[in-house]
Amino acid sequence: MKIELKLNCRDLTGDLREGFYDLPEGITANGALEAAFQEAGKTLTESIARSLVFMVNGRAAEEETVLQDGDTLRVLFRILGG
Amino acid sequence: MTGRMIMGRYERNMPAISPEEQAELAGKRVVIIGCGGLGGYIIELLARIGVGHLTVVDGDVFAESNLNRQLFSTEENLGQPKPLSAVRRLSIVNSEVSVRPICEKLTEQNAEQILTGHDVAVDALDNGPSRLLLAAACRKVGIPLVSGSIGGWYGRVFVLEPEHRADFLWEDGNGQITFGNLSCTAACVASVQVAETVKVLLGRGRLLKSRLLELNLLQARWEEIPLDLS
Repeated sequence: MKIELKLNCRDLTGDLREGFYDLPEGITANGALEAAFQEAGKTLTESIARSLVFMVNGRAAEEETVLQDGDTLRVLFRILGG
Repeated sequence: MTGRMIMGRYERNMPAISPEEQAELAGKRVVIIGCGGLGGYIIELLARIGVGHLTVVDGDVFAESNLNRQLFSTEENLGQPKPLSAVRRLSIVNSEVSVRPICEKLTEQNAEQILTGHDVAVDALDNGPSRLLLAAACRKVGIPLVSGSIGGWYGRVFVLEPEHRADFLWEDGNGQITFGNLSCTAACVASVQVAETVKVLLGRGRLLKSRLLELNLLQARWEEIPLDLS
């Protein structure tokens, strides 16, 4: 199935490819991000993973949210300072 | 508000803000939670633009590490309560604005009482749990929240209506990466928050509702992120 990945965390994750990915049915939000890391030959470290926020189609999502064909997954990092 | 007042102090707000709107702002009440990096700029700018009543809430005192970005922090007021410095500053910037300092941290016990009686709350906090608490109190009191947050070169702003929730943006991930806080980022995000606050008060313009504005000053990029909070 096709998922669109948007990244608002490049300064943390480096140059992962934004855009459409062909991914297996039942993949989770975190699984999709890991696939992007794998394609780029990089590793999703725990400290980066803890700093991320997932959104699917503009709505809040969890790491374990199961994606559907045509979903847009956006990954942001937490910004909590003031 | 008299015509003399408007033609003096607020002359350069015109025509972006009409005389009628200027008078309207004079009667509005805004509560700013946090008097630090974001809060200092927000408080100063709201006062200069003419919002008549500001309640400024912060339980902290100034520390040396605040000097890089907190507008009201100086080498001479280290150790002093932040809201009291806000009062002193506004007394010489715009003495027509009434400023109520609350030198307390926002808690579950005091939040509703602090927020009651205001038209809008502005988030100038520096951590997730306090933002969750503030948003919950805004829901109970029924007022909108102009939320802002910063980290290094990055910042975010959006307007949260009391019937919506955005907890996922503020839930702390233990051990997450931190980015520091730059003066330019604080000033930029605070300025957008002030614009949104004035727009909420006057019922003008297109608000950052259902949209999260993300500023990336390192890449000089501002992006609108669709936000479905329904």
